[in-house]
Amino acid sequence: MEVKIIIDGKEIVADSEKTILQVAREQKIDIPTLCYLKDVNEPASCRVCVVEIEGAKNLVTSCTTKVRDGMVVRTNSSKVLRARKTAIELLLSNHNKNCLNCPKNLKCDFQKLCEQFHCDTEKYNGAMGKYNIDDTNHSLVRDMSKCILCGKCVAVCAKKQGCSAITKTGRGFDTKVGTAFDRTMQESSCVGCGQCVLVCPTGALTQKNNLTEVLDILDKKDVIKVAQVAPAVRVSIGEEFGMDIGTFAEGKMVTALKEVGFDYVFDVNMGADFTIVEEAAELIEHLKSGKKNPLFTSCCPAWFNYVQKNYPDFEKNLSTSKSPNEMLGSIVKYYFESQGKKVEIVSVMPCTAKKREILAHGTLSQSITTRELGELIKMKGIDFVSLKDSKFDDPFGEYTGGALIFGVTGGVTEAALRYAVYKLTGKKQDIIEDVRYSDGVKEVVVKVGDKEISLAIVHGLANAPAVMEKLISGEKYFDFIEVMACPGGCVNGGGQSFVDYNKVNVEEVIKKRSAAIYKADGDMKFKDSSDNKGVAKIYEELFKNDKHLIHELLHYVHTDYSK
Amino acid sequence: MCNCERLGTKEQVEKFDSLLAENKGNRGNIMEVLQKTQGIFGFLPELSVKMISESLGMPESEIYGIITFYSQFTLTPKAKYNIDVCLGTACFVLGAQAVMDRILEKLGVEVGQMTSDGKWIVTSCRCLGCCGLAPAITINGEVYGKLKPEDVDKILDSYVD
Repeated sequence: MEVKIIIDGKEIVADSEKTILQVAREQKIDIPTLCYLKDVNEPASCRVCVVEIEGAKNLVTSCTTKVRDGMVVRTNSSKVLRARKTAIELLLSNHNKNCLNCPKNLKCDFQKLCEQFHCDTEKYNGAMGKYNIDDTNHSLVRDMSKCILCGKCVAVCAKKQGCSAITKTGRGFDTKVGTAFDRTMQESSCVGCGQCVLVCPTGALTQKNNLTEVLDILDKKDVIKVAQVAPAVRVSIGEEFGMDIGTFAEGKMVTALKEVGFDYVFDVNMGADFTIVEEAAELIEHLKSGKKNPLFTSCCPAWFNYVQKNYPDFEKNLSTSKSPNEMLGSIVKYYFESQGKKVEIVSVMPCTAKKREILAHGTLSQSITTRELGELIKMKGIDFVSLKDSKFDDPFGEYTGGALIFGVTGGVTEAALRYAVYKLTGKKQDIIEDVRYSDGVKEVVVKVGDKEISLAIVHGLANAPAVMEKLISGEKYFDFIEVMACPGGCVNGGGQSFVDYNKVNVEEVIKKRSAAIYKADGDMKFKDSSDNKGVAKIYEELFKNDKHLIHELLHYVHTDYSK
Repeated sequence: MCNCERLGTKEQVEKFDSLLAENKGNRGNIMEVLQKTQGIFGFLPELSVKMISESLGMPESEIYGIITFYSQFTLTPKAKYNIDVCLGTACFVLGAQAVMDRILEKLGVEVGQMTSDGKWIVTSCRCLGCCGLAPAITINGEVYGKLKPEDVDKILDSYVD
């Protein structure tokens, strides 16, 4: 039903199903929040979004109060602003205020609000909780002395990622976000996806930072220093320097990595083309066998880890083709070492879980996130925005559209299909719209020649159990299951740039970054991985088509990530 | 149920098993299941929480959150005898701390720590509601009042089994 309301003197026609906060934000009226995450976490606990309603005795939380006809709302009266200030000062009373030492310093939503409301950090000095920092996890660090108990991490972990690694424990002053039985993060059901890091408004949840190690590598004299970059990084790195969300900044990014001190900058997209060649071959093999033997993608390390922790019986169904990151790393290492040269490889990923992946396999030296790359570039005093474009280095810089779209949910499937369609029918099919973005799960049957392939494409780990249960109960069979742990795929990975969810919702972020990827894919001459001439050349010239060597370099013997 | 023998006696495990069977897949019954489980074992063993999690289809972390929220639940085994030493105002000014110290010294434990034989645990409280008997303690609800530190040995020694 449509109702008329007045917010800050402005007449607005609004839908009565919406809250004051939603209506205000649609009108670009700024109401700050700390605990609100649309549809995921709406506990009205931070009290920062309070507004004044004419005739009402008390202030109300705008995130939970629906609009009513004739409502007169003030979002910025003196009473409202004072109440917000007090709410923040109360949160500050049990907050570790050593901000200069905090990884989120100057990027912290909570800090920004303290500044905005001129808060007195010492106003309510009192008892402080005692917490240990948990850095047992390879991907994430938890520091509960920074936590303001907004609950966004708990909600995202349970509702979006289906992991429930963390929850609120204890009561009253002793309440904290913790794991079951206060186990370490490493022992918990955490898969390292880092979605919690993206939503944390403080420095309570951060990624492991490996820049010190990377700086040390860059100073080494006697080794070849290689950077390799994942597809999704190029549509987010610009945001670190104030560019619009989803700016395609591949050229500047390559130049920046060169200026930072890497000898070679290679493209993980090349690895993705290799992954497609190997993985599509596995798929064709599975299909030809005629047996019911589903193939799961394995390039997402958080999904890999999730299968090992929750569906160990299906570990054998994970594709043995290495992830593009590991694939390229192995090839680059072999390439240089077979020439008697030493090499150290640093990968730049949109992902926190990759930090665990590289540790499990031991080929790469470090894996840093998009955010860490941003910090590294700033640390080295490089003005990113004014950089000229450069191209990736040969011989691992060539890629096809099929590789690029790995960064988006459905991308691996589409790329594998482009390749399989060509292999099985000899025809090219560039766009396979059916497998693209969905609400979380997409089940489709695609015709390839005379074969029908049954597919499930999942993003957001919380959507995986439904597909797995169908598979287990026999209700449905899938030839191929693609799972990307993060909603939207790697474009919205846990290692990507922070965005202000008060200004833009996550769906829009995914849409903008995905659009940049699809646009670049559309502009590419070659869209099918089999057209990557560089890949063919490496199979012939570097590997001399030695099947044994190829298998050793490009396939996993599955490794236990939980250790 | 391969780990059952680690949980408790055969009788306890049987009761627990049927409790799980009755509530399979029923997350809504979590409070009742936890209360009954504690009724069976006297506390909530970590393994029982894992089994409840699997049976009810509720993450372990969430159940742990509930257990730590409500003071009625305990994750540590209860001792045979719980000595509750009142440290409320009246007891305290009349020397309750010295009584407490003697008890801890005799049993060789800290507050909240169980003796290794599982016989004793010492806790403190603020006021038992019998200030006329200060300083006072209770042992499994039995009140001992107007105590001096030297009374402690005799009282504890009277609990022979």
